[in-house]
Order: sequence, then structure tokens, then C-alpha cells
Amino acid sequence: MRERILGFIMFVIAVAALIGSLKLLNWTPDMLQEGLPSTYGSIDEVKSKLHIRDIYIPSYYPQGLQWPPARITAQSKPYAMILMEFKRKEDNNVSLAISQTTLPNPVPNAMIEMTRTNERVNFPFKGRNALLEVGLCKDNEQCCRISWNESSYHIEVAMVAPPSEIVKIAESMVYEQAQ
Amino acid sequence: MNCIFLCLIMNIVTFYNSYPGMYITQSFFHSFIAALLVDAALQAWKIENPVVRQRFRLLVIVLPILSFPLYQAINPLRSSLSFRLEALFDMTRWLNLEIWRGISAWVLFLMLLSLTTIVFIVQEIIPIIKHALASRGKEAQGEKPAADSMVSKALAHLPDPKPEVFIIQDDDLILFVTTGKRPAIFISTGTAETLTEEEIQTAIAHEIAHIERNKLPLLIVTFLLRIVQFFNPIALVEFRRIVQEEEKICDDIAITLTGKSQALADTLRKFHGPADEGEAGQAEITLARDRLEEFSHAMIIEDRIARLEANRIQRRTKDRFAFVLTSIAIIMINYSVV
Repeated sequence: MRERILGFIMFVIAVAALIGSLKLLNWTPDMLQEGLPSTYGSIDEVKSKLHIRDIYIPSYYPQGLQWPPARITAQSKPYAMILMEFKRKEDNNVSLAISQTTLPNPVPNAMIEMTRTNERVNFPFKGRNALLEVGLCKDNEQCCRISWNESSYHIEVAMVAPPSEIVKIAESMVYEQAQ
Repeated sequence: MNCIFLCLIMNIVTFYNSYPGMYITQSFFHSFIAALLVDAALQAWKIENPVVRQRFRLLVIVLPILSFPLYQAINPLRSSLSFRLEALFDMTRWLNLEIWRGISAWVLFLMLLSLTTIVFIVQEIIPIIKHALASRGKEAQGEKPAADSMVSKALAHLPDPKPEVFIIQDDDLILFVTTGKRPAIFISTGTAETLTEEEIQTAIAHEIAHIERNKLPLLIVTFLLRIVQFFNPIALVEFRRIVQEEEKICDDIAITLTGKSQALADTLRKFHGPADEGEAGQAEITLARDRLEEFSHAMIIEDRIARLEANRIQRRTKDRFAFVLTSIAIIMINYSVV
């Protein structure tokens, strides 16, 4: 019995050492290289620290969203990427995610995941050709996603709301482009 | 040329961000953490019984296969950037590090996985195919031992049911089994002449143990699961450790059947004597690799011999608590390793 208890204590120490080492290893890359994924307090901070000039922000926000964004995640290495996530006032759940990624890199996974896509259509707006998807997210809530290429970036907006709202947001992010 | 290289790197990053890519990277890191925790548990509780050790090592093969889909089913947002930022360890932070002129650590990681796949094919799959092909028609080459031969006398003292034993004409020390519907043991004339009756008996008992254990679905399932992890270097190492534990289990069964641990130790010593020096003119790198392999093999054999000579045959111990606790620790820590 004594040996088993001693074994248990040793194992717990080993687990604690492993967790500590993993935390340390997770933090080390930030010391080795700047620009790895990190959270930022504001868009201005992202611009100044990561030197990303063009950040596409909507001028229209639907009512019921908290401002400022609940989380701004950005990186400049290995490629430039910004992800803004906004929470709903009523339930504090993430309901709007706007991401901007240097082409042709993968889009980051936001806290809004479309579990079922019901409709997928090409949606031209302001001279851009966007892809609009409508489907269901967690708890069978209606959600939609719109994505398009803007200069050297791929922009994706996902929202737990009807498509009319997301189109307004997308349209407020860019200027009219000549056809 | 630069574009091709850049496109390749881009494709690697895209692949690693897809679900199959995440599965591959996470199963690698999950098996690494599982291997560390299993070794810690074996040390902490001083577990020496090879059956129990083997069961612990199976965790390193099995859990990482299931972990990623299981965690994703529990929490689909586990792959989100927000989860990654709050995770205990996010491997992409390391893999995204630029090592040289825009080349990230992903490329090194891909090279490691590719190398493991090559080793898996060359050292595991091809020998299995060769063995399976060689086993066919082997019976025709062998002949049954004479009734008054040492092999027959050694067999007489072993409990039934016994597999068929064949003698093959060869002066080298050869002893092997063929599995399948009609398993058989093959002994060369060189082996029969070199070993004593007791040694032949323990050697045959060891091979009988292999035949019986090969019938267990657990080992077959383990090997199939190991194939799923063909790219994983940790699974490669851990599967070899499982095989080493298997040898010890068969040693224990042989001793239970014969009660002659020293005879089995002597047999091992005769079979795996000092390695020959490499031939002159051989490439140095090949020689170094061969010597390293020989040394590693010799270490394993010496460990088995020492165990047999010290008669350290362990009976089953109460290990359920340690096993459950280790499994829980692996599952919980790996949930936060993305």
C-alpha cells in the first residue's frame, strides 16, 4: 500500500512537471520570433505591432453586438491574419467573426462553426464576387457566411443572423469598385 | 523555382490546417505525451510485469488514434483559433516558426513523418510480406524429427496441444515459427546440434508461446492500429517496445511451461552471441548504423538474459488504479494539446 501511495505521488509530480513543461514550451516561440498568433486590445495595436496596413473593418454593426470586439487575434508570421470576434449582448456568445487572411493561406477557424450548409450562392456586391453561404450553427441557430478576395487578402465574415445582416456588414467594409 | 517551393510550403500550411492535417499533427503530439506519461507511470509504480507494461504501452498506440475525432465530437470549436490561444500547448506555434528564408518548421515536420513512413514500409511491411511469402511451402522443406532425437525428447516434456515441429537441413542457428491455420516450428540441424535438450525445450516453449499469443485478437488489433499510425515516429518506437515486451511475455510463458529459466537464458546467449566485425571496405555510415542496430539489439537481449538469470518472473500485480489514472491523465492533458 505504501508503495502504491508513493507511486501515486511520483506520478502526480511527473504530470505536474509535464504540464509545466508544456506551458513553457507553448510560450517559448513568442520569445524566438515576433508576429506569431496573439491577442490584441485594439485594431490600432495590431497595426502598430504587426505593421499590417490594410485592415478591413465594417462601418455597420447590427444592434445587439458588444463593442469593442471580444477578442482580436492577429499574426504576421507565417502569413498576415486578423480575426475579430464579437459577442452578443443578450447571451455573451460569439455571434460575429470577421477574418482577413493573406491569399492563398487558410482561413482561421472562428468560434462560429457552420454545422450545416443549406444554400451556397455567388453574391456580387460593389464590384466583388463573393460567396454567400446560409446554414445552421450550434443549437440549430440560423447563421451565414460571406467571403471574397480583397486585394491580397481573403475576407470572411460569419454571423449567427439572417443573410440580410451579413450582406450589410460586408458592404460596409469596402468601397465601390469599378467593374 | 521559387514559386514552386513557395506554393509547396503554402500547400503544406493549408494541409496542416485541414482536418486530416490536424489529425496527423495532433495524433503525433498526443502519442508523444502519452508515451511520456506511460513511462512516468511505469517508473512511478515500478511496474515490471511485461503483460501489464504491454497494456500500458498500448495506450500510446490506441489513444492518439481516437483522441482527435473524440475531442472534436465533444467540442467542435476545439480547432478554433480562440481555443488554440488558450490551450496548454499549441504545436502550430512551433511549427509556424521560420527556420530559414521563409521555410517554416512544418517542412521539417513533414520530413520527419515521411522518413517514418519509409522506415515503416522498409522495416515492417516488407519483412512481413517476405515472411508471409517465405512461410508458404516451408513445410515441404522440413522433415519431422526422428522419434529418438533430442528434439522429440524435448517436445515430450511439453504440455499438449503442441504445434508441428520440422527439422530443416542447415548448419546455422535457425529457429522460427510460421503462423496461420497450421502453425509450425522449424529448427535447423545446426540448432539441434548446438543446444542441449533443456535448451531446445525452452526454445520450443518460447515459440509455442508466440503461436498461442498470435491467436489473441488483441495483438492483431494492435498491429492494425499501428498501421493506421504509419507516419507517427512515436508509434514506430512504441510498437517496437510492445514487441520487446511480447518477447518477455513469451519468456515467462516458456518458463512457466518448463521451469528452466537458466536454460532459456543460455539459449538466448547462444543464439545472440557477440556480433561479427563488419567486412572491410564497407561504407562507414552503413557500418555505424549496423553497429548501432546490433548494439541496440544486444542491449535488449542482455536485458532479457539478465531478467531470466535473476529469475524475475513477475506474477500479475494490482495495476488497475495506475492504468485508469494514467489513461485519465493522458486524455485530459491531450484535450488541451492542439
